[in-house]
Amino acid sequence: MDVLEKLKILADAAKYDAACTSSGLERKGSGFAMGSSRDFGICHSFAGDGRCISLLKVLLTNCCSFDCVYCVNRYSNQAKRAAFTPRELADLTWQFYRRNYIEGLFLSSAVWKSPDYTSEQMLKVLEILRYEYQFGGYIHVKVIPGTSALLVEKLGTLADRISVNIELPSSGSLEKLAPDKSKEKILLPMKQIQYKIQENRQGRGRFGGIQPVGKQAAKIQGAASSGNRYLLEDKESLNGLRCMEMADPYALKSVDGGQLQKPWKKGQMRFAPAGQSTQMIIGATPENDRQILRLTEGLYHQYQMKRVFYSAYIPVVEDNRLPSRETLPPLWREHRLYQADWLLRFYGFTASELLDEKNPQLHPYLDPKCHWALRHPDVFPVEVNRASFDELLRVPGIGTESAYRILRARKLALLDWDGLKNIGVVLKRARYFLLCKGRSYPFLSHDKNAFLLAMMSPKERALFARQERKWFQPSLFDNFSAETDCNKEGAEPMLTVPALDDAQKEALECVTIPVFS
Amino acid sequence: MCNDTGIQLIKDTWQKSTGVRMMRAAGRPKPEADAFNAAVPAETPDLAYYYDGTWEGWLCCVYESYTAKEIPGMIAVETEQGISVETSLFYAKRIVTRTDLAERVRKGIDDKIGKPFLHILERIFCSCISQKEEQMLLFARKGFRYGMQILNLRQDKVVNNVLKGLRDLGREIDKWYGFVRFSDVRGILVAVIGAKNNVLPFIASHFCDRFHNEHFMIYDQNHKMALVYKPGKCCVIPMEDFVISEISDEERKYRVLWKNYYAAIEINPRHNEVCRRTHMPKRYWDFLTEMTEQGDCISNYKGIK
Repeated sequence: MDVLEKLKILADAAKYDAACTSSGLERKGSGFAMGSSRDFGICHSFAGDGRCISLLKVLLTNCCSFDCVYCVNRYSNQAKRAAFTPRELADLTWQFYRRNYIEGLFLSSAVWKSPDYTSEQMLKVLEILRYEYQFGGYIHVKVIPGTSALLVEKLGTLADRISVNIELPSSGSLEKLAPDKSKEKILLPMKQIQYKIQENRQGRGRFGGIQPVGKQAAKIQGAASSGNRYLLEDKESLNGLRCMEMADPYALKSVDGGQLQKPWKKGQMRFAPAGQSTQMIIGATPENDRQILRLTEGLYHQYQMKRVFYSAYIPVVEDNRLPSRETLPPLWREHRLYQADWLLRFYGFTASELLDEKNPQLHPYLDPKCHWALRHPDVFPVEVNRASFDELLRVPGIGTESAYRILRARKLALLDWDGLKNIGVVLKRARYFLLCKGRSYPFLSHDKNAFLLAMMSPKERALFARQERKWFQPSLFDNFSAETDCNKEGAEPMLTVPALDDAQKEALECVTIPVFS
Repeated sequence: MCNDTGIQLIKDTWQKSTGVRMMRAAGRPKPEADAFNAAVPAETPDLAYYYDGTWEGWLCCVYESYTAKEIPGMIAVETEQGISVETSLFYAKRIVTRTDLAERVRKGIDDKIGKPFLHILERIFCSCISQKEEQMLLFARKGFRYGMQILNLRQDKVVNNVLKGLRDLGREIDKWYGFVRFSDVRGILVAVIGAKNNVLPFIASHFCDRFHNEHFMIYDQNHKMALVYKPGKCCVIPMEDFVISEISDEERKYRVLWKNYYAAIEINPRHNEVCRRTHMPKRYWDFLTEMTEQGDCISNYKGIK
């Protein structure tokens, strides 16, 4: 089988991994033969599905000994199998990078023989690239659940980002759909990576991100002073590592056993400098949005993830434990979860604020921020010229960038409505929640329908009109040609929205319009 | 150069046109009422400046605007054929480029406003916003009056316009970081791009750092300029025309591999043409290996080992 054939098969098998980001790490190219990394991340192309192609995203092999029900590569599935040799893949990466096709390598793999054997093969690719070719581009590597701690550490020293897929949002689902994986096998390397990153940062004398506080800091301090590579006190999560004798992971041996030159000076070695991320599948199992968001929040706080990715489940195999083959991927739900994820990371929201037991699902027609604002009329209106940064961030229509601009601009002059527009605030939504110089927006409509329309984007309005016109007042659409809009964008039969449940209907009907005189 | 009364009028007209009232720093005296009547730079919409299109030339326009106390309605480039625009509509004034004056203005901006402001002006000079020179002049005048803090005053039309142009330039630079496609021609990497803004000076440092051991060239066919690099040396030179003529088998092999990778990575049930075009507008497609069909398409593939 030639390289082209292999590339086709293994890229095809890798495409369901959502992450393809190359951001979060600034590194000059001068220390390497070729390659650098930019902290803003660079997209080199966009595939037909609109997703960014930044890294060469391939599997090392799709020969798998696991049988995860949702996965296209499981051994009971009839599929063409292939495997790159480490040299082939390193050469391909090098040549693609040289032509500026890619930003680096995203290396994942099916479980070939055993997790450790597969990881050794992946490590070989990384060693050829980093040591032999002196490659300075971005490398993201996936850890296979069950890999030994030493191999994870070696991978982390060579890669820029390292990730373990959490796959499914609960251990029950995991047991049902991925019998070879377990919660412990997934969380253990995550914890190890997190501690290793912290230890490495402290070893280099600076903290790039969040500084560990309280108990956690004491633990790390203790581990560092006693010379332990791992925090052995943490019995629950690191049980498997307790008695492990660590070989020196920085001892360099090439694939052939010869000594190789290190691309970095002693003490400058960084462990996964772009942090770790994870991914979960949405829609294959019955967890609700609230559970998913709480899990996400936990991952951000307790495991210090850089990103949590969601992947709408696309039925690739038939199985009675899964949704049927005809089910459309829940893209809209994925979109809403990403919106909520941004609110968690950049807007200071917590999962319990966004969703509670009464509202366990994100609203299909209102984005999470609007929905929150509608449920909290007591917070609004806020005065643009006086409100704090945090208050501004909670206003629908104001993002982080425009909130910063407001802070800077109002030092110089009082803001009025035109000024807000120039600053980039979405007045269509924000005008209902703001006061400017003590006054509300001129001629602000008190009509509930107009208000709801303003809260929705054109796409949401079209979906709303198509699906919910039976129960909602038809007057809503008098000035609004939803039907024609739908027809024009008829190329999206994919977009299915879950029907409103009773709580959500109620929420829409009892909307209190925050209009202030 | 610019006296207080002049400033007051700028401030006044600005207030009228934008509705923004400048907040006065505490303790600063209020200007006298009759100060408005004194000599002020005239808003002269029928006056046009012609300069030679260089950065120094534009700096001299700023000098002229301050010494003559006037704000021209148009600043245009004088081409070799002579003044190309509607000469009859404007009272034309030719600005001669003098390096000493240009240096003086440059130094003035650097000292009185700050280096970041100068860098912003330099960047905008390479961008393609409409009425670039006039907008820049108004922006610079505001900079002289209010200092660096003018950058935060996005309520103002001119400032907003200029900063938007700056943002568009930055976005295009980011796009070209990714969309440049090199071909290996006898060991030298060559690429052709077609940029709206003049991005070559800004993408140079990124590519020189990343491929610092290679020889490469990036040709911008819209601006007829090329970025040429060999290890340790980098320059942007004018170039009339350039076409990649020969494609080796090795090069063709990697193009085919890349095209096939591009096709394989798409999740077909999620196809979304609008999203792709939003992130990768069609004007870039001509320069992308994976989006061009001619020559070395997948059907031409003959046994790659």
